Amino acid sequence: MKRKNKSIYYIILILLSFVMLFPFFWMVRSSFMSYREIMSVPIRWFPSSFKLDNYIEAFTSAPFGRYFINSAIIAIANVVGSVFSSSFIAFGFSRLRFKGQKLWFALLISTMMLPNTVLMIPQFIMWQTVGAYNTFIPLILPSFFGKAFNIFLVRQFFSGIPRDYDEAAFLDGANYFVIYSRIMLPMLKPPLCTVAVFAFMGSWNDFMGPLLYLDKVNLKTVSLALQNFMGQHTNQWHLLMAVATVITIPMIVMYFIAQRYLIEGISFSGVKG
Amino acid sequence: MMNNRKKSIKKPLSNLERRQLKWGYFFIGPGIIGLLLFNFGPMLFSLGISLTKWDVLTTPEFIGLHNYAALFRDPLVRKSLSVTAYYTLLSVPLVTLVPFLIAMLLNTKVKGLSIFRTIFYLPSIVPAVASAAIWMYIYNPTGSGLLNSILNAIGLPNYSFLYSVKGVIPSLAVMAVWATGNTVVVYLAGLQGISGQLYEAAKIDGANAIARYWHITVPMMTPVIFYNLVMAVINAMQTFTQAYIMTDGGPVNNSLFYSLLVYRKAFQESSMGYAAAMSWVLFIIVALLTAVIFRFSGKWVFYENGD
Amino acid sequence: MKKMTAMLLTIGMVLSLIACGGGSGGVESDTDKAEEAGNAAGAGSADDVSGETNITFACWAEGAEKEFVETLIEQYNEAHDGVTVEAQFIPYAEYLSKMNILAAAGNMPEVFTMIEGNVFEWGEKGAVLDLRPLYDALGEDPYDTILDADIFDDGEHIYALGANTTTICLYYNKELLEAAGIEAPSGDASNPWSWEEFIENAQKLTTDTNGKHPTEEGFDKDNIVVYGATAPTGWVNLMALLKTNGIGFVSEDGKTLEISSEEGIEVIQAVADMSQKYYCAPTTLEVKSSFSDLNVMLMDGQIAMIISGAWSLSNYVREGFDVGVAQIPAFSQPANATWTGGICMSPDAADNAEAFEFFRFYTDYANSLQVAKENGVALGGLPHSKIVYDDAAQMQDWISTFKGIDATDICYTLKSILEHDGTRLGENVTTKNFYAIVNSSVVSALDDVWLGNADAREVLESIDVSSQLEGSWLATE
Repeated sequence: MKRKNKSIYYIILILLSFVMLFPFFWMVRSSFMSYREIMSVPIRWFPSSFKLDNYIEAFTSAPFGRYFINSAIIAIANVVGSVFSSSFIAFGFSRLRFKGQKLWFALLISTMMLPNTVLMIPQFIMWQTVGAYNTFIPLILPSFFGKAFNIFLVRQFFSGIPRDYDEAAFLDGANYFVIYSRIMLPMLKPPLCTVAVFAFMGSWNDFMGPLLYLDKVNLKTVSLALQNFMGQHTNQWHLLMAVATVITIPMIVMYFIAQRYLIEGISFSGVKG
Repeated sequence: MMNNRKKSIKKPLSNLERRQLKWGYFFIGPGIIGLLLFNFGPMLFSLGISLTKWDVLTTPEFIGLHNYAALFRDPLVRKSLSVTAYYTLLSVPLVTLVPFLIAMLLNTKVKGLSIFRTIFYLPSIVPAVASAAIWMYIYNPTGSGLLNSILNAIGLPNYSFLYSVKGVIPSLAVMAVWATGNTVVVYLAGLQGISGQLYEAAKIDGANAIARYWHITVPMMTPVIFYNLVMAVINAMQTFTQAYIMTDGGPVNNSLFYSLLVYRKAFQESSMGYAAAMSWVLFIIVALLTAVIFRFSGKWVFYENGD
Repeated sequence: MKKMTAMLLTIGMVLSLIACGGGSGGVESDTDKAEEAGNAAGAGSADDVSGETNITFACWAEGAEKEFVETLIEQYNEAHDGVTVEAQFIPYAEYLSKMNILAAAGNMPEVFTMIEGNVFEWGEKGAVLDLRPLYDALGEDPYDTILDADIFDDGEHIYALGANTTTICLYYNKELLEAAGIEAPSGDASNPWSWEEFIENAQKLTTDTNGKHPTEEGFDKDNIVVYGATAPTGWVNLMALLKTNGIGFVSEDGKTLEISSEEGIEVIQAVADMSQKYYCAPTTLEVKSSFSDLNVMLMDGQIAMIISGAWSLSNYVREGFDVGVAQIPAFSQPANATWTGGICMSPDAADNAEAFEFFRFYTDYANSLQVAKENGVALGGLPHSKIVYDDAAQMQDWISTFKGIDATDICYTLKSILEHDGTRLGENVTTKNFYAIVNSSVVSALDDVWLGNADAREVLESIDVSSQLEGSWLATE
């Protein structure tokens, strides 16, 4: 890559980085300020001191250790469930041709089109009837059966894998399942990484699900904890920001690890040609 | 229709077809089970409720298509549809195309790429509540807001952004772009999937960077662009959180998103039946839009393997 | 395909039937519920063989109030062997939706708070328990101890009692008033400032960067440093102000829109004029969309007076700020509004004696006071008990729950407001469909007035809520 081009790229990247970093900066800065400082007009860019008061107060107000463990369990389960189910199901929607395939795909996509509000009550009743209220089941089980947007995503990526592989495998006497597990899966690292990221982030930040299904204090998640600081008339921003800052750390770590699979070279061992 | 009459004798499926059928349902089986268990029941329930008057606390009262008739006449429903449509029109191109450019940028071999990528993903990680607070500061209509102080510095007057009747939707659309970290991730994954050899071959043939971009990158990325486009439309039509947290539908209902109105009707006004009817109307609209996009996808989406 | 459709429809219908059965709100016996709920249910009460009773209490408290509730419950649990009360804190923004879902699923907590505007609605629909028979059985009358406005009584049933009374007041920065030579407004609720006085003083308190006031030559309205007041555009504040002009959003019988009357137009226009004509308050633009807290601005000396609810007191107390509190300014007569969130019981807990006992414990002010004093936690709202206001020693106890400031004046002012004849029960409690009317129609329409796009008369006269007016929950009138 030419020298000049590289520096332009750097400059653009750095400028945009400031824009992207701004909210994070604002969040962290606020976590060190008292409520009054956060609210003062004109805005104060830097906290007067880096006291940990907010952190201490926020994290002693509820059993956060428990919350983190709960969130982690749910998130990891979601990642496992989503990665396997979406690739498995997407294989069926792209590598084969059979009657009813298009119809089922359409029905699948259609599940994303109804606003969640009116589904909350019937879904809750359903889960409660089978005794899953106050358990993690409603938040984990669906991911093992595939979520529409993940399946759709992986299906699009299948098109980038030449059919030669399938044919070669058939000639070797493999069946579809072998093709899926031995050949396709390894080649789907980029989209599966994406699915993993989506699953983790989606589950980590999801508060509607926990709000509905997790009422026992020892089951609650980190995302619900944020809501603890939102009141009828005002929010306790100083505590909220402290919690928000800490919550994002696992997500940053997760993303940093995951995106390395999206760098050229660490993707898949394709057959060249 | 004519064809069906001719084919009154069903041909037995060939071996290949039968195998594909068996395996097909084997693979999509979990998906079907998931659909039936977790989605269809509740969806049908809500369809049933849309034919009733229900305040959630007492038994539903069957009223047939009355809700649907009422909502077609309801000025608030019409307003919310136009607000949502306007937002979709503005935000979809932005959230589909800008992340593509960003992904291209983040796919170059620069040092510290991992760090840059993580930085660009940060806005998506920040919890919605914190995001809202930050953007309300950025969009503050007085001179103490971030954008307005920049505007003032270059001699322009304050703009009301979120509290402006005309500017609230554009402001929200721009805000949406900033949180497209997930879309960028999808594009990055897509860019990985393009075999380096194609570029090599093109270079040998004498293609320059722009030609390589137009004739290799873009076509190879169309399946992924298609995905993001469809998702963008589906999500934009159901926008809720920003309006709920930041503007509460104002000013003068100019950010009264359809989903927000559904939520209000369902829980604050105890009209769950009406809310369900509204939801199904939205469903039909989104389904039609999506069907149209799918229908025309053949014209521009390039599936390498003729899918 | 047809077979599939039929199957799906059947599933859907079966689910609908199950749901309908669950949501009818009928009174099921406790044992039925225990069997149905089994091990997994968290919210239903389960009478175990061991005799351990679990009671769930749901509320939206957070921060200091949450601490208060937790302490109260802890004390109760310690004092009552064999009964465990578990608190369920649900964020206010999602409170109604979550409660609705629990109600639809037949899974209500035994005791719970309910948003004031929904208490009567839920009562009428059988979703909260009528407490009158329970009190009659005990030979007790809540009217003996609790403020009238805090008893949700529609003439026949008592659907809830309140524990966190609130009202609207005028907060002011004592130093700013002193510096401007303005005599502080009286703590006597029957002697408030008139609206004209209020505006006059607000103008005297508003200064621009050059120290000039709105009434003076050369006043720079684009560079105001201190605002005299804030325009009380929130419906909560407007509700109280309208009362000072003898009306409400809606008439007391809930059948006519009153805000569009001459008196209503007067009030709305006056509030809009504060920022648009008299320049003594920040524009709604500056307040609503920005990320700021008016109370902090008052403490920092950037705003001199705020009309807001009693709930804002905790902000000042937490910072140890000696804020002034007075009756709100009056248009034509001293008046105010008062209400409280309701504490209700689930109809499924009708026979649950332990639940009712906890309910009485929670609504007994003496217990609240004791918890506050012994544990140094602040009370959630204003006392809902009659004794407090009649007894000097009790007043002193109340005053002492405010740590960090001398709340004597504040408490006596609030007492004066709560006891005043002109302080009426808020229409957010009594008017049917209040939120729909106010939030959907009036508030959004008023945006145009606050933005300066139209004047009050135009906007108010064009509001049509005839389809939403349904009358009042109260039996008489």
